[in-house]
Amino acid sequence: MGEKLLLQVENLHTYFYTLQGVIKAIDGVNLCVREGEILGLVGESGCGKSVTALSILGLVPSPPGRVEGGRILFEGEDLLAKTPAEMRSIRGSRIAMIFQEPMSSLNPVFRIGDQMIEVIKLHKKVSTGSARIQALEMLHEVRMPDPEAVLAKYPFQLSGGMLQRVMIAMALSCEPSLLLADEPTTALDVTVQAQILNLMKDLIRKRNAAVLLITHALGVVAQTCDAVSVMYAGTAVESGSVESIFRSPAHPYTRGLMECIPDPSRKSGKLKIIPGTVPDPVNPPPGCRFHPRCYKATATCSQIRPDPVRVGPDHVVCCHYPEEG
Amino acid sequence: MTRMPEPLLEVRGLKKYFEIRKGFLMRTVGWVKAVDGVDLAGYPLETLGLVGESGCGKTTVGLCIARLYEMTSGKIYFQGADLTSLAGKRLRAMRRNIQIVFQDPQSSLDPRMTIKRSVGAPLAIHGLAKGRALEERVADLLRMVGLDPQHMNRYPHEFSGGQRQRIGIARALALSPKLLILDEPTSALDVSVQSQILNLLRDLQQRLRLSYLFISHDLGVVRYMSSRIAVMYLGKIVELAPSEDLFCMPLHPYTQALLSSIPSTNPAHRAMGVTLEGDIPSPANPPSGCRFHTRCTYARAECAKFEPALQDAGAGRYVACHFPLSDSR
Repeated sequence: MGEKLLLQVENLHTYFYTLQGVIKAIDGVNLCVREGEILGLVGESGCGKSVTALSILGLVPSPPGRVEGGRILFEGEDLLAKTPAEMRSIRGSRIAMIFQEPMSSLNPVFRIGDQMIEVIKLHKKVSTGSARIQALEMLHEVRMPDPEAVLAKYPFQLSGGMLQRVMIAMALSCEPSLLLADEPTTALDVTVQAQILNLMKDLIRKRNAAVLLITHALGVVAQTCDAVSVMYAGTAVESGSVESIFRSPAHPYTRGLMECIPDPSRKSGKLKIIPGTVPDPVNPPPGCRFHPRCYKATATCSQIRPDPVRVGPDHVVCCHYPEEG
Repeated sequence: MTRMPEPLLEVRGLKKYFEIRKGFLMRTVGWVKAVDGVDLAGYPLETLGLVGESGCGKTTVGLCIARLYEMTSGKIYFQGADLTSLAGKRLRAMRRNIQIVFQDPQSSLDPRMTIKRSVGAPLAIHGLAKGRALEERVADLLRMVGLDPQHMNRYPHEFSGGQRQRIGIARALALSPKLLILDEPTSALDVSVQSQILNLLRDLQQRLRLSYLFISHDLGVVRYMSSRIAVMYLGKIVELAPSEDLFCMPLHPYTQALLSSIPSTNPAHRAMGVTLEGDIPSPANPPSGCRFHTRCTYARAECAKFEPALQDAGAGRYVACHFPLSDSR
């Protein structure tokens, strides 16, 4: 794993202008992904993790969405300053993406092979014949049984796990240096999830590519990632290395998330809970966004938004009263 | 746990086949064997967990027990009475005892009915209360699940996912059932809300002396909730055991693989041990013999030929495997 920064998101703001009001989906997010690193982005639904990925790719639906501020530096270039045409050539070749539902990200009326060949030809300027050979090689690499036959199939003829392999093969076919994976295993069963995660890890390591893995499952993060950022209501509340965050979560929200999941490896007593629900994104609470649900909130928390505090090497938390130990 | 000799619920040889119809005449060309011979017993006050991957038939078992599906064959006994032969009034009376909570509270509540009507509907249908009495009962039910009774005139869209699931639970409790079938009650919820609902369900079980059939694909959740767990694979139960035993020492290779593929939240334990190859075969055309033999690491020749029956493995454990994993682990 290199120490060089590949992707740096600074103070990103993405808002959606709706009839109900301005939804501050992302309100000041900082992230960085090093070369060859797998960064997990975790949080509950609506916390802005998918919008973060869409902002990086320049795919925020506009209107109603707009990136209102911040910088996204990728290999030293600011992606927010790029023209749509420049972004098009970056997407798919240098930054690739895998979505949650493989069925809905593939075109149902074209064969798998045609769709794979199209991507390769678009970015690599090769003939159809050699693109086909590359597609076959990629399917081999994702351990697809009988790749030759798969090329001639339509998406509906493959299972969810197989389709996700096709998506991974397509995403990696142009040797991207960054892969955005948005809940890549959420729609899959656990036994298939384990296969896909192992496969992704192998292929990524081999290519020394970096991954931004978006998920709500802490188990997936613990098993696959090098570093984590935890998001809550449009803000990144804690980030650091996987070891340090899982050993000593410093934000009460992170700690709460970890304690409220029933652990399959042991029988637990009563589950801890985080009271209340995720706040309304149109009217987020002032100060620290987590304070209405936090057990240690004080008057300060409801007024002043906490700045990032360093609690360890490589471990940053946005909390006025970080947890210890 | 002291086990009562008399089971509350007994399922024997439950089968549910769905027809595959094709062509202009919609002729039956095959059968999807969603549930293919399931035997289960649920005891009073216990939570029986039912786990498996998607398509294994766990939801179909739940719907057959609630008699929301007509089963193809088999018998279901509730407190010793045969549910399968009931119809009309007597079936309706029996239904008060068995209620179901569905996975998605969004689609299981009528968007055009107020909460009062939805939760009160079972009482109205069974003619148990009306007018002020019904309103009071609904208020009680809402309080029981931790909602403010003042909100009873609101519509489902005004509630969050977790609150909607509480409404679904209140509705299921309206008839004071003895058995509650919980079909993935927390799968559609975020983890912080999931723990609230799980704790609520555990409290209600103690307070109202309920028995649960807890259907889920999440092994962590099932372990937290259940005293015994049945593992299903392709329409059959492959293992049934007290939950501690099942997690500490699985006997069926499928259970072992399932357990080892749960990603642990401990980054120090990065061992995705026995991972399975391939996908679940289609239930329309299940493999011969043991249905798991195509993905099993320990499969031998006889596994493809003979189907193993669910056999007593002692200490309240049952396993359907020719070569169950031994204790020497």
